[in-house]
Amino acid sequence: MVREPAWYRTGDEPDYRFSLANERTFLAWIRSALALLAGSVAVLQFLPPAALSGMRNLLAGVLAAAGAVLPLAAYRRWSRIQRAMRLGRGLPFTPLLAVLAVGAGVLGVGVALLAVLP
Amino acid sequence: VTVRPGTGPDDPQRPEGTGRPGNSERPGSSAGDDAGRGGAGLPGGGGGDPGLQGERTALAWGRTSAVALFTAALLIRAGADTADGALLAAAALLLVLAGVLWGYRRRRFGPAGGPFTVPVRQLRLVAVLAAGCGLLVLGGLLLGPAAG
Repeated sequence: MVREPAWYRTGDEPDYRFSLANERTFLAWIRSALALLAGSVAVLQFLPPAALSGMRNLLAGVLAAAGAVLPLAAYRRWSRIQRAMRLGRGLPFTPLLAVLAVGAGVLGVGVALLAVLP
Repeated sequence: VTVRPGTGPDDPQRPEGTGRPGNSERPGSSAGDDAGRGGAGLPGGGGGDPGLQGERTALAWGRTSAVALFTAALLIRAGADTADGALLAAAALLLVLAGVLWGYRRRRFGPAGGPFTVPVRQLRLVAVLAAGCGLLVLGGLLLGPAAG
């Protein structure tokens, strides 16, 4: 059995609705991570192996790496929020959203370029 | 009655049909919280579950399980096409993840479901499994037959 984290019994149990909302947010992050993995495989499968094949592999690699890191970041974020709610503190800031948004935008441009370049 | 978090969802002591998730049984923990929050009296509130939080959460678990299943199908296809064992291993792990997600959804939100506990172990397991899939896919891309 995995040990429960140190924050698990600190503070007060928050309203269960907030706990469930936090949990759903975690699951949404997991889905994002799985989508990145699918995207990584799709890039390799469906993009033409053009002159920029190194670029294609790089793109797929970045997507897969993001898919590997994101679940752990999501768990960390979930537990920090849960802890903050137990202690009645404000929710912690995360750069995760901006990183994902900018990263997805840049990668999208890359995929579009690779798709149209000869 | 105090509800100990982490005692697991199968609590035989739980009175049938209360529909009240765990921590509301803690006296004073959220006294008066329901008043003025808006959702409590709405039709379809699901017997003391304003905003249908439990149902929405159950759907989120099921959705995640479905996404894991679809991703596994994609990885099986890609792994078979490229004869990449790492991708197939990642697909197998994803099938396990889909099973874990669906099994926990049933156990927790099904007809015999228990009170809402904070599922710290399950979430950690989900995160580790998903991260493992990512590592396998990354490994398959970097080292596998498709890398060339």
